[in-house]
Amino acid sequence: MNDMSAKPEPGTLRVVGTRPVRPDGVDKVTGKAVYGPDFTVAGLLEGAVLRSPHPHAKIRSIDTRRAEALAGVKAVVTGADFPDLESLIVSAGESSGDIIHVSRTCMAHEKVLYEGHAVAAVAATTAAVAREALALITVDYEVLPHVIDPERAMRPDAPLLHPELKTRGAGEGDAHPNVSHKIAIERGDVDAAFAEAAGIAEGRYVTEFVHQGYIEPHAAVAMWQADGQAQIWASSQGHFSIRSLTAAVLGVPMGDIRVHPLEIGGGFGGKTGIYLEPVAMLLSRKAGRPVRLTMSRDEVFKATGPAPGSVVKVRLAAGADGTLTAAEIDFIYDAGAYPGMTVHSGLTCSIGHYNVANARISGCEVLTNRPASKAYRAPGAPQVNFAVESAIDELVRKLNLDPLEVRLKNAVRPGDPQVNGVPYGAIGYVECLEAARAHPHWTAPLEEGVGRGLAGGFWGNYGGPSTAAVSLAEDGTVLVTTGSPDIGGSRAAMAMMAAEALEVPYDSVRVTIADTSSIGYSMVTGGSRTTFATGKAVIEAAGKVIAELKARATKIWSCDIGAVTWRDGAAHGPDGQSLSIKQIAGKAAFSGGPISASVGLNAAGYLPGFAVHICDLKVDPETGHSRVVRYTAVQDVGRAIHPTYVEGQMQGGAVQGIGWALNEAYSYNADGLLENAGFLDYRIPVASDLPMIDTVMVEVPNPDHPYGVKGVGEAPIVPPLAAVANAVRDVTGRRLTTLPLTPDRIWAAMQN
Amino acid sequence: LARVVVTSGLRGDFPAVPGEFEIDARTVFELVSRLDERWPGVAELLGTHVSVAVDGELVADWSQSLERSSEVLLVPHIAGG
Repeated sequence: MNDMSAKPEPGTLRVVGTRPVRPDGVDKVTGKAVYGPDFTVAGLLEGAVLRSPHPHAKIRSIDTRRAEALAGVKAVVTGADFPDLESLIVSAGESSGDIIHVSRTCMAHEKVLYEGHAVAAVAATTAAVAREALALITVDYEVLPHVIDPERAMRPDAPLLHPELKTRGAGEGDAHPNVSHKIAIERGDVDAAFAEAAGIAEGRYVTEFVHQGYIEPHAAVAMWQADGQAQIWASSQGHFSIRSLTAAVLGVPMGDIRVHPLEIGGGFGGKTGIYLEPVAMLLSRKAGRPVRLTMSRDEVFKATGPAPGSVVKVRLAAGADGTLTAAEIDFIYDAGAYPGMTVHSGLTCSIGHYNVANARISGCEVLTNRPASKAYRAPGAPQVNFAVESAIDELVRKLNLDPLEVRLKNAVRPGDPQVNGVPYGAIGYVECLEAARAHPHWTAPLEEGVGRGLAGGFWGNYGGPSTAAVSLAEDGTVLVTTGSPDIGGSRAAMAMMAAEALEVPYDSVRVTIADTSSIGYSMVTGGSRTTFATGKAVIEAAGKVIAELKARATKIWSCDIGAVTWRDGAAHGPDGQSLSIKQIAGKAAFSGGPISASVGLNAAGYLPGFAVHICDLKVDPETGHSRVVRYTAVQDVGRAIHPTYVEGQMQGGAVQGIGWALNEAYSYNADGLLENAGFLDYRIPVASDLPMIDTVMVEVPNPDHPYGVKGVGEAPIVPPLAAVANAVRDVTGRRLTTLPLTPDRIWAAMQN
Repeated sequence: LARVVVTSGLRGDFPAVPGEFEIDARTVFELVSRLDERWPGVAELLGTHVSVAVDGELVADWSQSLERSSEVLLVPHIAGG
């Protein structure tokens, strides 16, 4: 690792920036951690879901009688068991959507809109009986024409998924029921800038649906009792979202559902919604027993939410010195069966990392007979970034300039306006580019047959609502409780921030992620927000505990509060007296009672994260097979609380982006059926495919966080698509504009 | 009066609302209430699809006061993964 991270100033930070062992590590490496599909409870029934074999069909009728009569079957549900809902926009973590669409994603009612759409579910005494029962359910379908290609879906004669749908943001005569959202912005004089340009690059770039590829499949255990009280056990990126969405879909008060978080085996945005929970709830209510539903890998691919595919047309203009003068971008995002929320981020992230005076950007979201897309790390950013950063590479080649210097010349700096007009705060894109330029990778000689690609990008990150509680055990152990599922090591980060604030050792802090009835609301772990926002809540709660500890010391010493200071995990008072946190906690019962503090906040002051990636890639000219041989990820991380986990986020994002670039794509046949719903045919990169991903953490601290934190989880998936494609261009001399860059595509391009 | 700007990416969502206008409101809460009175339905979007920036900073606490010279930007709320 090449660690350029700023070291904590001596005497100011003692825990932040160190690399202690993660608290959940032992359970995970010894197989003891309880993930979603592992959870069990007494009397548990096993459930199974019947899914549509058609990409688009009306459900004329469903006959469940034979399934219900099968020995061992305890309950069967269909769409008819779900309450009728009024259209209502609900928040789902950071995104929002219509509750009717959320409900229909869990169970189809009138129509199925994609292969794998749930149509019925069974709970039985064993999984084998449940599967047998599914085969006894008869669904009478009227098969409808389908549409998989987003550009075809926009034609006037395309099959309509939701004939009643109004195009959000459409102008007069500009609507289409398969187009759920349109946006456009324009600034400056675009046409004049193109007319005066020294160089212009343009292209049409295409990406396919890709899946987050988390290893743990979705699973949920639900127990809905006769008194109306219910419990759900599930892994997710936000158990509070499970509570609110399940309550809304089923029409029950949130307080009637208690959701227990389990360990999560990867989410990357794909576990911010619900699929199984209301179904398990309804099965449980009918059966009078707890029910577990677990998806197979086939179901995960066909029925959960991949990232949107895209078609991006881009045209860039620059002066002879490389100054970007104009951008014209038009993008289509394929959201699948229901509207998503990625067009605005596509627009914001398209050229938001550069100052471009003249720009015309339009985007739309199109619906097709694919599963409804969901967030995937920096949702909506990698697709458009692939097009823009590839076009910049073309422009640089036309003008015979240095790709890094051109990016540096145009890079946004603090105070420059974002695409939405709000000025950037303390961002570090320039520092990232300078760090990339200084890295030995950038100037290392290239071997024969190896090309080098560079790309930059960013993600806006987020703050949002979080709750944290800090309490002291009688022996002074610090107990931190949050409502933020730990996906990337946040328990360690929370413990470190609490230890830093209280000035106690990391080992004396324990972190629990509490269920929805045991801690106040927290938004999902997503948007790269948890270490920033929940961390702020932890630090504030720790500050309140310090204030209380000092107050207790004044009681013990009978002195004024002004005479007491807190340092090194102890209160220091008059005459050189001191009381450790352990000593004060031991006297808590006699000085006012147990010591604890809770903080709920809506964290503002979050800042975007910028990244620059360098990729060296070797191509076999005889087969078109490519291999990444060296890769460096540079990123402004604000300040790394636990550098190892920050590096892990950077490496993970880079690897997922490399997979997106080289291997991964949903592949549909002419019948609209997915052909590669498994990891054998949907090829995500594995360790043996890749070199060690080198990381450079650039630290431009966020002044709005006590320790300078910026979100780090999403920015690293933004640049890899173009970094890889630019390396392919470098070594082959061919610009490939459709991902993934499979050997057959590279080989074919090299023949021309 | 605070100056309100509906950023261009959002104008399709607010076809009846001018791109720029002035409004008398002491806080963001009051601003949202006034907007919803004038253009019913706006408040729902402001809670879900739209973020509010005052004088160049995104606002998390709607009790933030608005000055006579304040510039309020309505910007798209961006989802995350």
